[in-house]
Amino acid sequence: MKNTELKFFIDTTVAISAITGRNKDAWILLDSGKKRLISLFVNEFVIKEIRRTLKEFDFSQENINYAIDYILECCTVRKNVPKAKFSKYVIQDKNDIPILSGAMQESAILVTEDNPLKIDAKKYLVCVNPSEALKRLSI
Amino acid sequence: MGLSEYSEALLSEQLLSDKIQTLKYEYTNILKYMQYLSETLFGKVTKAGTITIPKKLRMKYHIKVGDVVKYADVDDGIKIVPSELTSIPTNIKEMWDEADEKKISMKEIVEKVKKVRSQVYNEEYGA
Repeated sequence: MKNTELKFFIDTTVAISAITGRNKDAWILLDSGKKRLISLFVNEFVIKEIRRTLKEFDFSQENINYAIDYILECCTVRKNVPKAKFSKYVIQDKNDIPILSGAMQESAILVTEDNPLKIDAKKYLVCVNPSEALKRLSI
Repeated sequence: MGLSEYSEALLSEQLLSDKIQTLKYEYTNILKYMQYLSETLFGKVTKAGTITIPKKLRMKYHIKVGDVVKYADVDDGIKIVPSELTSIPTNIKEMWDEADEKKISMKEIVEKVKKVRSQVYNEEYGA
């Protein structure tokens, strides 16, 4: 079933949980993006975070590079939203604004494993976890 | 020793040698069968037609509760394929296994991303 009209912005937590196999639904979501069954987006901020987080978990540079290449095949990468546009978002953790604004800019559904961000982001857009995202797609 | 006695001795020696060869052959077969039994995993079909996938294989193929598997009717039986896992590249599988070994949890991922996010935010946008 193709749902390319539905756009999802993938938070770093989802990308990492998919790449490390911690959440099968996150993997299915990522893989569906690779198969072009759905449209997935990230921004440069997320890519930088993925690289840094995988390094923090002591994965080899070869596997980190492979994971990044894989994610680039699954998702479209957008430029970061400029800081000047951050002022309209009032959320608990300002560090989450690049993610939230990235999803907003793309008019996409934000997918995250981070519950506080999920609650906060719901003030601005639809925000779900990977399992809920798959339910929306009936995958 | 007469000629006939000598012939009989030779014959019995040959018979003995043949017998030893047969025993060796049977012993090798028994060993192979025992190895096959130790390496092969069996499952018993219940009244409802269900079977349990052995834990060793569930772990190897990352099959968890609620996962969907595909059945393929092949020449010599039924092949069970984890449906979502058919396209996992080797490097990614390696990372899954490594994450298993390191016991990385979802909670740990969220916490680590939070920490990294603070650093990346400062680098990209300033404090």
